[in-house]
Amino acid sequence: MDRNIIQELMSLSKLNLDEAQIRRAEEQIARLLGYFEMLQGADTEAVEASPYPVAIPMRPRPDVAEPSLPQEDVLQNAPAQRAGAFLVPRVIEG
Amino acid sequence: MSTPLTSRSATWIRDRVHSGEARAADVTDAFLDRIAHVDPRVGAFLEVFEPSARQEAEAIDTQRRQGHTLPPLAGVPVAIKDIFHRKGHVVSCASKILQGFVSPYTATAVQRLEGAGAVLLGRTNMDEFAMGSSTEHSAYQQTHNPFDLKRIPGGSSGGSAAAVSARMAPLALGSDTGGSVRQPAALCGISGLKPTYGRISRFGLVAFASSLDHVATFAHDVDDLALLLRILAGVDPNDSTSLDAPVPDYRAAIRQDLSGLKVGVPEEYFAEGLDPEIESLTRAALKQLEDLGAQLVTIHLPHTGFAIPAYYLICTSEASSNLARYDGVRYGLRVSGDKDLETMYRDTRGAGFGDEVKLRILLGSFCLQSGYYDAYYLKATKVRTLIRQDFEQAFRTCDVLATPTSPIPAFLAGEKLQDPLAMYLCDILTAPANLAGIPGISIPCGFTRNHLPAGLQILGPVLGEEKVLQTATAYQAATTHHLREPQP
Repeated sequence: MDRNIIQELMSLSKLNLDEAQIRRAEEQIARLLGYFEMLQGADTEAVEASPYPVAIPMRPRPDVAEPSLPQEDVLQNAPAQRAGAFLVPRVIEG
Repeated sequence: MSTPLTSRSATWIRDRVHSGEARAADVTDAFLDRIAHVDPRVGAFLEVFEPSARQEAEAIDTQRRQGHTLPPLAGVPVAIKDIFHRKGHVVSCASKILQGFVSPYTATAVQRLEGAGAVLLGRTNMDEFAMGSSTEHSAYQQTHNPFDLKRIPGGSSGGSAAAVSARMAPLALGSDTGGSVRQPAALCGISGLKPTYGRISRFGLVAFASSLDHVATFAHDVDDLALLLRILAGVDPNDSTSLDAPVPDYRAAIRQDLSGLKVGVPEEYFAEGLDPEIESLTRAALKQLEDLGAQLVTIHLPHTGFAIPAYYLICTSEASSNLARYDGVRYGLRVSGDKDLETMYRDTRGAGFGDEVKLRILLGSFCLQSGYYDAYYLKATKVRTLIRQDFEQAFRTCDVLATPTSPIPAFLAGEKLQDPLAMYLCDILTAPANLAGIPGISIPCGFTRNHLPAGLQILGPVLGEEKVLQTATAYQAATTHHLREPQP
């Protein structure tokens, strides 16, 4: 685990860390991944993955539109809004 | 000397509100007074819903005066962890990134409490986004263990646990992703129940790790937990992972006779790292179960040692995805809104998240990268299968399993803050049940020489809440540990 990997993860996660946090992250992630290596000792040959703990049957519902949240409720926490939309910095360059 | 109202169980309070012996308004006043006197020292609540709690109580009293049938939790005060949406109220997950966020809808679990006539007292402190085992990662305040104010209450639902322990609420809602209700219940000397995955709808529970999160509950005793589970459990069209299974009358199913009950004792839960006093108290509790008619059976759960790495690989991966929504666009904190989008995202999340949340997001992002996904995340989900199979095998010969809940009693504040791995190992006895989705309860089983509580954990098979509650009830009927109150 080195600084370059942390910087890459910061970019992937869209997350800023200050210098002290970067140094701590290097050390802590390396230590944690070292501990997690013990998982490679588990024999998982021919074992199915379990993304969920219990079997969850699919329960389709009728294809009928149901009420959604009112627009004013959705926008009530918006840091910035205009004309019923969330206002954000320019997305398209130029 | 008569028992103070705030020391009474939820069932006792409910029965007296139903009969008219007690007014819901007087009950609520008593608990609000208790909070005002005690919480400055304990720090359980982030917000007390004082005007609305009194209004809800008055509404119950009005219903009674008008001769209406009262709902099953009428007038019972309940505290809710700062992770449940409630329309018109702030929910912050103890994070700066959601400071001041007002919910536009109400969680199903909270709706069911409201529908049952509960009086919601306030929102309680927690580790930020439920990531922690001590409630020290809250961005707002510290919560202290009512049995020793220098110690932590456990986490992440430490505020709810402390509220019930200090008799500021007879019931509380929490969430349990790796032990975050059972562990603080053990450390605070109260009872805490995590049901089967999907038994209680997660709609409106702010997501940390979606395959591990459970709505879970605190009370003084098992009877109250059974009462509460009946109200909260059941399928929900708003949560596609909620189980469409009948909800029994859990209280009616409870017997106090354990004759014929096979209790498995997994050797791997009594290994190195278990505090000797905790081990001694747990083994005494096992002996008590035997005296009540249960048959103890030594069993093995051979993949237990892989549970913590599997748990943390899965939960951090899921958290890195779930917390991507906190980007300053639609709600919550926004920083650098006058710059470009990327800068806004990074500065907002950098300023809004605490150190532990950031660490877990980075770890999860690492594990999900192509090139590492198979070795880490996928591997962990396969180990999850092995852990689930261990439990399935055990429940072919045992009705329930009994273990310590936490390997150590409540530790001093600050003791493990600089060492995430040491903190993660607090979950070593509780996380396996989250991986397997099985129900588990923690009940008080004694006190250490330092007068710190210890918890006995009872685990059951999927949808085996009745057996878990039966075992725990029988133990509580024969002991008094759950009646001991702190003096904070």
